[in-house]
Amino acid sequence: MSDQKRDRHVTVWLTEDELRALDQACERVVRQVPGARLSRGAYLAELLKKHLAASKDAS
Amino acid sequence: MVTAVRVPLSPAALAALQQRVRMLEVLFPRAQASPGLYLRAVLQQHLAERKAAQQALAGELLTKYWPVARAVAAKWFRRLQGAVPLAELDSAAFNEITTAAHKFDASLGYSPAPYFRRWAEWGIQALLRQRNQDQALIHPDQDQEDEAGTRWERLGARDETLEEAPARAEQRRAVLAFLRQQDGPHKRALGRLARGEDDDTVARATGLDLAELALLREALATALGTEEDEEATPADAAAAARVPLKVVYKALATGQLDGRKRDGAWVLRAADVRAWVRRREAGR
Repeated sequence: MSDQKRDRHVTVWLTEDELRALDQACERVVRQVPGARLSRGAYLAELLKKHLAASKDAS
Repeated sequence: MVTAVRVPLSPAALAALQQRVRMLEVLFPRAQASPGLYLRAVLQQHLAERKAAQQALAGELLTKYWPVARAVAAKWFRRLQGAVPLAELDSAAFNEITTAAHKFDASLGYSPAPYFRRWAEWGIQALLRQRNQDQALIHPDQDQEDEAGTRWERLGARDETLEEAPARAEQRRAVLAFLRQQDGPHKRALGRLARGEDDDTVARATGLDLAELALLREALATALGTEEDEEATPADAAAAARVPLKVVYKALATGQLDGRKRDGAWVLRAADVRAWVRRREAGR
């Protein structure tokens, strides 16, 4: 079973403002790469990864 | 309205997330906690941090680049010959670069200076448009009393009015018809004049006299919507440059001054003469 297939989905409910800010952040990340797009979910997953790593470092 | 976003997490990340949530439930038993809410809080924290960083960056940029706005305001002050107060231009430019500083994206990797200059220009142009709409652009105190109308009305009076436009169009059509009727030497002369040959050459080539050529040249200028250049003689050039006449002829011979022969005599353009005089003065 591939890594992707083992992924489990978590649902996050966001307001319109948060969604817009999230879209802008996604767009900023891939702006330099022509034709690329980054999904909201992937961005949030990466954010969580960084957050867990940072808080592990802190503790 | 709220929207759901599905976040794919690896088993390890999901386990860590669930552990955090359980920890929160232990620490704050009455609080509502779920993986979704936790992720949302992470996003909110990230966005807040980003906003704070952006604001700090904007402050730094403003401290460093406000002289750009001042320079743009000063440029417009000079261009408008002092008609709009410098303080007003300055504040319009500064307001605009304040907005610009908050929108600036450092990750794009270009220098902020041209970016701010562009925004400052927009701010000032918006201010001028606003003042123009208010009918108070250049001389606000004169606008009501002045019998000749405002400065803008006086400037606008030079343009074709609606009544004049049909007459001019008619005149232009007549000239075009006149030009189309020409054939033989006249047609050849028109072609040569349009290519910029001087009158003597055209007269020699086509056998027409100078009066006819002047008429054709005038018709051509009307048809093309151009204006005939103001002419000057070598004597005018000598007077303007305050030099003996032979200096002018020498300049014509060496090509420093551009001129044409008509009926054996030199004919210069007034603009060329002015440019030549300025070049001479600069070279002194």
